[in-house]
Amino acid sequence: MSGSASGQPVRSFQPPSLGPQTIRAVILPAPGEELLHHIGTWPQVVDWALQAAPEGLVLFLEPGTRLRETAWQQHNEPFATEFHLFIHAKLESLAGEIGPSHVTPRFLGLSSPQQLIQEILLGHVRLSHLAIRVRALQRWQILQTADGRSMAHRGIDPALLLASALRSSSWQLHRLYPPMVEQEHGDSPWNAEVSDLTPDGGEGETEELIANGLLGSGLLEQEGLLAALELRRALDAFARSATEAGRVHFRRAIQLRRQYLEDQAAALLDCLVLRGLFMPAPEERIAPILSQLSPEFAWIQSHTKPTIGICYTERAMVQAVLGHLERSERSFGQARRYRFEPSSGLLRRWLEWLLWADRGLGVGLPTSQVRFLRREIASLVGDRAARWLMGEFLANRALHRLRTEPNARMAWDACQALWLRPIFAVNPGIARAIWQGATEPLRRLRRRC
Amino acid sequence: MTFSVLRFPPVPAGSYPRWPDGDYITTWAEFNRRIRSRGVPLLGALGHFPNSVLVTGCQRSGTTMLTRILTLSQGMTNYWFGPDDELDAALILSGYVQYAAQGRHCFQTTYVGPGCEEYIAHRDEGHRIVFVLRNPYSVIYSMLYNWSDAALDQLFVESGVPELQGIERLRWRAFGLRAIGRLRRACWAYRGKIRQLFVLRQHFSSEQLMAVDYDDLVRRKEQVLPAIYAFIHLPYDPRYAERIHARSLRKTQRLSEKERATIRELCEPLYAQARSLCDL
Repeated sequence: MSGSASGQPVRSFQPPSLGPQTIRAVILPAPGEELLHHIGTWPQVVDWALQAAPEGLVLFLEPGTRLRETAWQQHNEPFATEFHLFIHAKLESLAGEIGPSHVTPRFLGLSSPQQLIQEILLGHVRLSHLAIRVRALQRWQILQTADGRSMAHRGIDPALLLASALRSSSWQLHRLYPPMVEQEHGDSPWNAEVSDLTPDGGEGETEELIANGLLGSGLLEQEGLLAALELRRALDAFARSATEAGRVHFRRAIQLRRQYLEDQAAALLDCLVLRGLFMPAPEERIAPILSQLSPEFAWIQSHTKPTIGICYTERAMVQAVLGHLERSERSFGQARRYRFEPSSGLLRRWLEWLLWADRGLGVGLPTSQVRFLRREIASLVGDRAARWLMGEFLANRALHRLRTEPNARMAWDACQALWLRPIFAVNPGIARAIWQGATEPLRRLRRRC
Repeated sequence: MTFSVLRFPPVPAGSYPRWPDGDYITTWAEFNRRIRSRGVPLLGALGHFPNSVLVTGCQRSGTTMLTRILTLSQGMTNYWFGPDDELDAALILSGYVQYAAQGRHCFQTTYVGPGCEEYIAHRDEGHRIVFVLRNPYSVIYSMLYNWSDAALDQLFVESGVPELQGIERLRWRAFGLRAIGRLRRACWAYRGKIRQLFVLRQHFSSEQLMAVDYDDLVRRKEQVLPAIYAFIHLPYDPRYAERIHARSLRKTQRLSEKERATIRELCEPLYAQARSLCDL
């Protein structure tokens, strides 16, 4: 992408001077209405960001619904497509370069900026490197102040709020954000700001932001954020073997958010899975944390082995999706040492992740990898669960292709889905995918003629 | 720095719930097998928690939401420790989990069967009972589509079977559970639970028992919630109402006309009678 597809003049990007500090996170806002005149600099900016934070997190924010529906849709569709293709290509090449352990471990199904901040506070995005594509994030108008006015009206930069949340997660943050009003910043279109923070810094600041309603004005939102903060403090304390401090924070987290214990503590255990996902030996991270829980929560310890097993399984799935089948096989082998029954919620989460990896990362899982995953998952959690997972994956992929880019492959996907889950025989969408997919070459030929 | 978030009082040290050594009950199936089926009094330990608030009603009626709101209020003690709010209460009140915290507690007791003897046995201990009523369409929709078969069957056997009439009673005796369709099982269970309100009304004064309709609570929360707090003599903070959401009000539209007709026939008359007993 060398020029602006929307006809805007191309401006040059001058990388900011960073000094000796280690950059841990870069937030790249999606090109939006107010940023159109910077479009041409995006490839340089993305390149710079990925180089600047080789060990850290780069957040690519996607254009929000509002923008897509209005000016964005009308004037910038070609650029939007180009931008996404560019980002996907970047991700692919980087995944190959730096290995799977730095690739976003999981699709985060976020519906609001507060949810992203919660995920950050919990440390879920700490291990991610490449990209978390958060559709909802650009809907900053969700961030309402107590008096009902949006952040933008109050002149508060949403990236700064996110920055504060990141600070409390021990991030050293580089904020790279184009100014809303260019004149204020002279010739350079980019406003660079570097924060060097100590590991324990920023927590009070985040609490204050929450307290003042700046990260979410509703009571439940505020409690959710505080709970996330408390839970992270608890898990960090347990990781340092500060058992008593950890127990105090853990009790506070549960008081603020009962949901951490629901469904056999699924949400809590999920935090642990993410913490151990790319550790060489997750059992060394997860088991000590659970063993320090106070006696009333000791029942959660019975989930230690399944949690470790899920951790290895998810690692294996990431490796398989990236084509590292040998490593993936080893991880599946380790997962088999911790046999577990996947809940329906867990299977749905895997399905979402696979679909995201297939579409979002632009991986386009080939048949060999789909077969590999099915075989390994069947040997781990049983044929029934594996059939459900891969059947749903293939059916969803076929239906997505039917909607967006009908081709012959969707017929193949739909047939495989039908074979794995015969219940799809009564699904009219699947029947349509088979028929249209099978006749697509003929139609194409006719169009050519 | 003034926190707009409500601050909760810390649980007093040394008074956390204590499990029997390494023997955890974390599902209702286990609770039913190990405690309920052995005839252990389900509210046996209620006497240790004077002046408690008991939230009851039919399952899937919003009792969990109300219990959480009350538990998180200033002046109440939070005891959460297990995977399910109501199961926490059941384990404490049956005495399986040892717990001796001071302070005022709110317990969700919808799991207590249709007989009200256990409530009546603790009538003079200063407890307040809040009975949450909800329209049968929403409750039965939730039972059919958001609930496990095992939970519905358990509730039907306990509360629905005594309600069975005529040929259905005979079919039940002859063939058991499968002789009655899932929808009708849910309807009979609903009736059995709602009938509890009539019995409770006979034994408890309006100082001790309050009945509220969930739909009113959600639609007029600014009026109904303060009234509940006044009934239990607890200071009310308007922010408590933020915990009430109205997301599930429209789900009943997904019921088919046939399902609606069955519910109308079996449950609506009793619901109308029960509604007349509501205090607001």
